[in-house]
Amino acid sequence: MNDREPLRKAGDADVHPTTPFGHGDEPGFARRGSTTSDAIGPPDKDKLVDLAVQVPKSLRKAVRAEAERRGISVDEVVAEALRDRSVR
Amino acid sequence: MTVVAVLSMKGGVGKSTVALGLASAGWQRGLRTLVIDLDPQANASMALDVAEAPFTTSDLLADARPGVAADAVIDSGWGESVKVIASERALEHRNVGDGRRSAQRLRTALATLPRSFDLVVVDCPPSLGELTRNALTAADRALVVTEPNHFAVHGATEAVEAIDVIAATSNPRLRASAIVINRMRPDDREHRLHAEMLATEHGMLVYPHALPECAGIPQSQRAGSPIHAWSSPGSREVAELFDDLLDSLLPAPLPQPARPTFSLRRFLP
Repeated sequence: MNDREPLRKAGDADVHPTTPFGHGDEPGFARRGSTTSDAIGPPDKDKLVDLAVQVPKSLRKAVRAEAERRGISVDEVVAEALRDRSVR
Repeated sequence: MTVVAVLSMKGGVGKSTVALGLASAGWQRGLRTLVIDLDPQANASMALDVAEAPFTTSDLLADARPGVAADAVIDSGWGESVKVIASERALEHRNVGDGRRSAQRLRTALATLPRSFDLVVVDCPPSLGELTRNALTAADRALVVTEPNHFAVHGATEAVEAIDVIAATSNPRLRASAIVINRMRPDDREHRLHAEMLATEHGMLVYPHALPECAGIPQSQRAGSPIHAWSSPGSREVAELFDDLLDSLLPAPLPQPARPTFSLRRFLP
């Protein structure tokens, strides 16, 4: 009788291996979905496009601060937040 | 049950090709075959036509509890007899040491799983890092793959040394079985020169039949098909070479006891 707990997905399954150390704990890097196929399926070839939106000044300030704190661009912070809201 | 690690320090020399060729030879014979993809590039997983992998080698190395690898075994597209533990890019996270028993994670996670298979092939990444150490610690045999050129030959020697280190320190069952020369062009002087250098340095360890360049290999891999099922010029020759290579890795069948001969003659006057 095998009563061990089943295998679980590793917490860093969706973190790109080149991500700087320490960013794996950021909320934006939480895994999405229940299965992994990022290396088996075709690579993500989404073209980058502009998206102009109006947001409160305070929010823009917060996004900038977040980007500065994490050493990434404002675009990346916004894209990540949109992804986390299941836009894609 | 034989667990074979296929490795090389240099990338692009044909590790996955040899791993898949061995799996194909196992498939052809109906052997229960398991391919463990320990390369974050996941090329073997792709060529084995894996539809979706709920769990991968990254997950089982992160978990590493005894026997947990059984949960990650999935069907390949090659048929019932060939199973896979697929890879994914995130496996790169496991390519770092994580404590004293770090290199034993694969062996621990596999536990008795290899006994359910006749052949287990571990496709290593192109490095001698933690993933390759895990493969060598879990394997009985190690195959080194090289091309007949200067850098690859140097990498092959490094790989043989790595096998010796693991065998001496943590896995006394491990044996270097062969150095396989891939993409050999016998009419190329450089290739002949480096094949001779390998033979001088490693003697009998160099597998006597080099694998030739063959268009059928990448074609079959792209199609997710075993090379033994691919009918293009040269594919049959390559498939037979993989048959011979597999023969050299599998334990020789036990000699059959001599059948007692029964003759009435001895009872006759």
